[in-house]
Amino acid sequence: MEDQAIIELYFARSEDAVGETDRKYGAFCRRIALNILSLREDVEECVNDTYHAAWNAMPPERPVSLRAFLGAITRNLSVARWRAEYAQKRFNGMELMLSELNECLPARESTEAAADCAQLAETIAVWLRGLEPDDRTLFVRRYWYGDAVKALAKEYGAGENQMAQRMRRLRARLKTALEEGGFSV
Amino acid sequence: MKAIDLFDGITALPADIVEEAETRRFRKKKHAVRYLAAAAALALVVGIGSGILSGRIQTPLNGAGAGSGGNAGGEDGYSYMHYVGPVLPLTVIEGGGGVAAVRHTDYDFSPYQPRPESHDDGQTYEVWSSEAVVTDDYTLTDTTGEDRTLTLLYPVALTVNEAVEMLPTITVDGVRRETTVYAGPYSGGFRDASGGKNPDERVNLDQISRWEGYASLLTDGGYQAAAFAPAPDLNVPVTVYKVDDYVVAPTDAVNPSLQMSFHIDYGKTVVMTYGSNGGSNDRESGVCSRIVGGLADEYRPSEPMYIVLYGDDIDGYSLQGYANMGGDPGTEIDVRASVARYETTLDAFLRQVIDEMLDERYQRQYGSDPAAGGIPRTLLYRLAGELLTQYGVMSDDPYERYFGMLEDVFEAYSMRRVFYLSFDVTVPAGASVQVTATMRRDGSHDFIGKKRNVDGYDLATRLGSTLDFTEQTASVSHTEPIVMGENNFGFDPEGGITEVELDPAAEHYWMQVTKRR
Repeated sequence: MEDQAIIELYFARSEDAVGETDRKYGAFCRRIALNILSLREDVEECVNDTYHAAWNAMPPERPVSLRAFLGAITRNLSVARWRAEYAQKRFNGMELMLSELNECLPARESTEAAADCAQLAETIAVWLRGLEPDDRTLFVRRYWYGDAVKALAKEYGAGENQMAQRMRRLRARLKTALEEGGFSV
Repeated sequence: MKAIDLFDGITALPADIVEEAETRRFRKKKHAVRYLAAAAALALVVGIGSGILSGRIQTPLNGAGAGSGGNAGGEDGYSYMHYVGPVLPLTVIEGGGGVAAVRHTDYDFSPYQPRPESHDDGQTYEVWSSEAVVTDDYTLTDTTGEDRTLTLLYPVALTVNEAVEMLPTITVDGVRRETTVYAGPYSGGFRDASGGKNPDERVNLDQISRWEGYASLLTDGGYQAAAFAPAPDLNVPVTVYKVDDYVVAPTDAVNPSLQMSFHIDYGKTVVMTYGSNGGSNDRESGVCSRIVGGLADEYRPSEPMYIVLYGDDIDGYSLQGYANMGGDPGTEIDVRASVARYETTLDAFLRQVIDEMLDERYQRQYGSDPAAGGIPRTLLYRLAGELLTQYGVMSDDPYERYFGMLEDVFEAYSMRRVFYLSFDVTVPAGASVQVTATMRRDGSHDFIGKKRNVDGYDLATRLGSTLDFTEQTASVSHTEPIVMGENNFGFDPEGGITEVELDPAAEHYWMQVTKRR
């Protein structure tokens, strides 16, 4: 079903909206939640909460991209759950992603700007748009979707070490971009 | 700033960047090779066309009105948002007279708890599901004093995508038995997108959501017979136009697209596509157009667009590039492409499309070939053909849900239906054989609402079966991970009741469980 039609179902308060959302985006939402939380039980609850949140948000919200809209809700709910229950646990996907993102943080003394989320997103978006398409896709697949480096390497047709090296270079470039954008630790 | 702030900033990235990352394919070497090979074979390189067309861009779906009805109350009438269907009884299609059947069904809830699972990234995660292992056991006894050879069918309600991993295994007297897999048509129906206001509309899938749906479907034997009917005949000639090798002149356009337009008699030609993103049908003027978008260099699709014509061929066509998918006057840009015409059969083209999907996309998404799960490819062709001829544009009365995009046929693999596993068994004179079906079975559930944490499991005692059942019992085992809720089996694991005798007069048993916290 087309996204627009699914959104119309939400606006019509039709329960089909949730079923159609699950049919089209259930696997997508589970993938995002699983990449952050690792525990299937919590993943299922997060995905159900995503549908609940979507149901409450539409209307009045009318997302431009239903995929991105649902994905962002799932990420936020997953991270909230991770913060509440998982921060002390090791070896889950979120911890690994955060440890990698730590490398992107600019040096403390470089700037004075605060880390405003919208401003930060805008800076990262501008930086991403300047990248080669493959690099942009790799970065977003790793740090938005949470896809594992090994899986990306396989899909890209590269070795795992080669892919890890490429991601490391991307993080270094983002760090530079953030420093130039005036962000600080 | 901390890493978590950076994570939040990435979460807030614009939707187009997020979309692109999901839909875009990496430029692998093999794709480049394919382009070269395809280019060498192409017959015609066409420049910019002039057919600027108006016309409404159609989608298979319309807007919605008021909300649909909610869940019903009683369990036998309860409508799940995701209903997997009951465990169905073994049946016999040949030689069943004089055979007495005793059935015992066990629900083993061992898998209903976190367990370690290895993932692609090399790490081990804890996973959890609503899965139970169902062992459906039959003792078949000859009462005539003669050897009896029976052709048995074990039915199971699944989708193809589920069946890849959840098709039952059959043993006879403890020895694994190979089976032939058949499948009935899509078991559900269609409905409108406006909560019943437009009852003639067939826009949304209306999959069976309650027991009564299966009771109605399987009672008279017609559905089972349809599983063994001949496959639809798609061996009809079609003309194919393959549009490929897009060249977009330097442009600032965000989403360059290419529209192919032509005249047809809508009464004489059926238009299908593969790889197209949309199009328009103007029945008054006879103008038809199909469009492919995302042609900017970095977004360029790796696959061609195919226009497949069943019926009269076209006299000619025009190509026009646009700055976006709207195809509006004033947004024209310079886009060129190669177009190759060839003739084949719809059956051959559909098989090519399905093979490509199964070999690439399906395995990428599911990590396995359906054939590895026991679903033969011939059955997959059949199910796709059924969708096209029963509901799609090759039907005498096409449903509004389908617009002629052949990608739609893959929906056949997520439609719930009843599979039949066929096998022969010989029951010696006066003796018994034990037939056992073992399968993983998910719980039925609601995504939202008061029962969102409940998983439902149900069983049909004799629905659709011609066996003579003399006794049926059921049990639950390894119930540690669950809390048994309402049920009409009579199970009470806390009170020590884990095995019960079923009333042959009752057609349907159900239970609801929740996870033990």
